[in-house]
Amino acid sequence: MISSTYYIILLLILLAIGAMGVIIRKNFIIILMSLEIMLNAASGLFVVGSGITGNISGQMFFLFVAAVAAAETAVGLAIAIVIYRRKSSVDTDKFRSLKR
Amino acid sequence: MSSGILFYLLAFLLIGSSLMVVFSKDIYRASFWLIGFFLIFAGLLFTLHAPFLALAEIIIYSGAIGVMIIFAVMLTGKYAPLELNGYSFVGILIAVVFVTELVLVIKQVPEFTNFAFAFVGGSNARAIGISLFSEYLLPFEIIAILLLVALFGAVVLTMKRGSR
Repeated sequence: MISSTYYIILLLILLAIGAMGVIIRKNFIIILMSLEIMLNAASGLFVVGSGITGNISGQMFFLFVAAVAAAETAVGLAIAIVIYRRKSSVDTDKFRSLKR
Repeated sequence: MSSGILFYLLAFLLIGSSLMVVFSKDIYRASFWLIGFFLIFAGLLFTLHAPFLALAEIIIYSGAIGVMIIFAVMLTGKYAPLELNGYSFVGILIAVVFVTELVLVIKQVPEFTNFAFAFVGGSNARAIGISLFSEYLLPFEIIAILLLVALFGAVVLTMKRGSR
């Protein structure tokens, strides 16, 4: 029988994979994708907690995290497009300075 | 146990697709693997007895965010070199240490097997709706303002200099 521990361990593994992607990749858009994986895994943990306690609040947190993730992706991709327009690359080691 | 087989299948697909996102050399393929990850994650939410969230995951993540990421991939050049940076070993080490440590902690937590949800008001969507418009009304409004500000921010950031 699948218990909550299996779900928690699976979501922790996904969180670690997302963190690994944020650390080891150069491309800014891949970093944003890994951030989406991390946000999904973390809010999935809220849903598991909602199942354990029988309280709906964890599922509400999933909805709010989804809205924040949408906003974060919109602004992050806008930043990626602006950086590509200036440096013609979205590699993170190309924009070390904040000056133009 | 059919639910056990379903869980292990979903776990295999989730870990595989997220690894493909992280280690893919092609950025187009990474974005499509990410959309696949979102769809499989919706399946995981179905097994957690959260059908409303599963449908919201399909609509918001694999619909809106997936399309937005594919647009950004198309706007930021076709052939970005996708080699890893110099921190590969550090990143993998941090991930392994993180998982090992947290699994050792989680092992000591008592297990819950029955995800039999008994929310107030019957169905899942009804319970979420009642909660959203009663006790979470203020965060709901703040999220609406946040989305509006993010929309303006994206427009202002990508506006060409001098075109206003």
